[in-house]
Amino acid sequence: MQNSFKAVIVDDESPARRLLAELLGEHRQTIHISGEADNGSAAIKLINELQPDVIFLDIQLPDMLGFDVLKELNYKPFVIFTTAYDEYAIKAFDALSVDYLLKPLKEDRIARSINKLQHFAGGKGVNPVWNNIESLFNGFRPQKEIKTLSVKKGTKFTLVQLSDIVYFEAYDKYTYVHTQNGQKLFCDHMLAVLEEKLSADFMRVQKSYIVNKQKVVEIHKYSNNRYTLVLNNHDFTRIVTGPSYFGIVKEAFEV
Amino acid sequence: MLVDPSHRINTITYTFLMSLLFSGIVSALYLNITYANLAEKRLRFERELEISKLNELKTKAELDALQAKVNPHFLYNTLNSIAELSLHQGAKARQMTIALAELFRYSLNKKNETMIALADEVEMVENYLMIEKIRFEDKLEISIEMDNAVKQVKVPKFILQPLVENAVKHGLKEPDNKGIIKITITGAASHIDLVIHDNGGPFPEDIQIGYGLKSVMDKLNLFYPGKHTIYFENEPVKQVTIAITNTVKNAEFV
Repeated sequence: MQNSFKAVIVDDESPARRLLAELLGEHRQTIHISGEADNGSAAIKLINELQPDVIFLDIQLPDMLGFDVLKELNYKPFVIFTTAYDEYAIKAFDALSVDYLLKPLKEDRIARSINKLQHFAGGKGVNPVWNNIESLFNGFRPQKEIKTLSVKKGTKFTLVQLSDIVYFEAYDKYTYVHTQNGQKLFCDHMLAVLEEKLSADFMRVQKSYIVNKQKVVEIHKYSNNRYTLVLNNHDFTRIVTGPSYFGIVKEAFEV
Repeated sequence: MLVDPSHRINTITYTFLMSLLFSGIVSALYLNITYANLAEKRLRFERELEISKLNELKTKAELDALQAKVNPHFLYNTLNSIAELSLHQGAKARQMTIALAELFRYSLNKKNETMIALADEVEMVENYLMIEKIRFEDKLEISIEMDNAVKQVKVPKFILQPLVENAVKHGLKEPDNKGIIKITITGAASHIDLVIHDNGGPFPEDIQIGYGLKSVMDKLNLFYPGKHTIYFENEPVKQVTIAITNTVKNAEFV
């Protein structure tokens, strides 16, 4: 059984690092703290250099997530996560690490973690493997899809929530954004660029128009390959769909 | 005679009857269309009414939802700090405990207030920042300036705090950099500018909004529809401004 472990502590808060170091002091026969880091990039450098046996790793670091640190390591140390997240949120990471410690930290929980560490190091348990790291920690990242659109005004820019947008109207190489409360805002993106970025709620229905599907209140047949869409804004704006969009409009609104 | 007079009469009668029938069809069609228009209008009116009722309900629900709760992640981290400070730095632990209690009380909102004097919101922000300063020790530098004229102006609760929280996060993002946060509040009873600066990286054009910023935007839309803007700047300094151009809040909310 391995009974001595070189350790590194990674946490952005100094009181948190001090507390862990203090509580680990009870186990100084087993755990030797050889370094500390208060952000992700410093941690990567330090760990790759010192090659500790175990790292105590906070999940939320100022510059990245703790998992991003793991990806950059040139070997695979044992990992004990420390976190203020709910137990529920962290459960899935059991497979990745020796153990996890919830904040505020408790002595008995730390003692248990060290037992588990010795167990794994002695080869009695399956060494936690770092498979599927990416998919596991994606849940901790903010969603990528844009929910707002930035609208430039000189050197300033404002944000419009997509749910407030009724439709987009092409204007030369630019676009007008028409909002629920009747505002018409200038946006320096081309309609085609916006179309790429917008969520599935939005749909191109004509060369010059993208509408918010949630804002369509009525659909009428206009001709044999066009529809008139009535939008739910103050003026009940009507937009006639383009012939080449007939199929997708028909499918989207099940008409 | 080519045309039999009786036949002629018949033709006239026929024409007359036909035109009568035709006009009947036309007017029936017309009435139908008018009726259809009316029906459509009524339908639309009903739909609008329904939407406005729904909106009212939604507004209430939204307001309830927007009542900020202390983020558990923040709470546990703070308690972890207090646990450490209590070992060797009793006075600091006590200071932090009191600040946390104040913050918790403000967010529990037992008095059921939606609006509060700006000075009180700022006091809460100061409590919040004091906690962050202890958590991150010498890594945060903070200054707050507020015009006397705006201190008693009522604003929605938690209108400032979420953006300050974002500023702290961004200010601390650069490793080895001290986070500098500057809050400047200017204006008068009728209009307010809340300006928050941090020394983190510039705002990206495709800014990702989190729950905090979204809650501020939703609140501004509810309370000051059409009378506010949030704008972001990177030049000459990085700052975000909440500009309320008319502090008379939406009449729907008392």
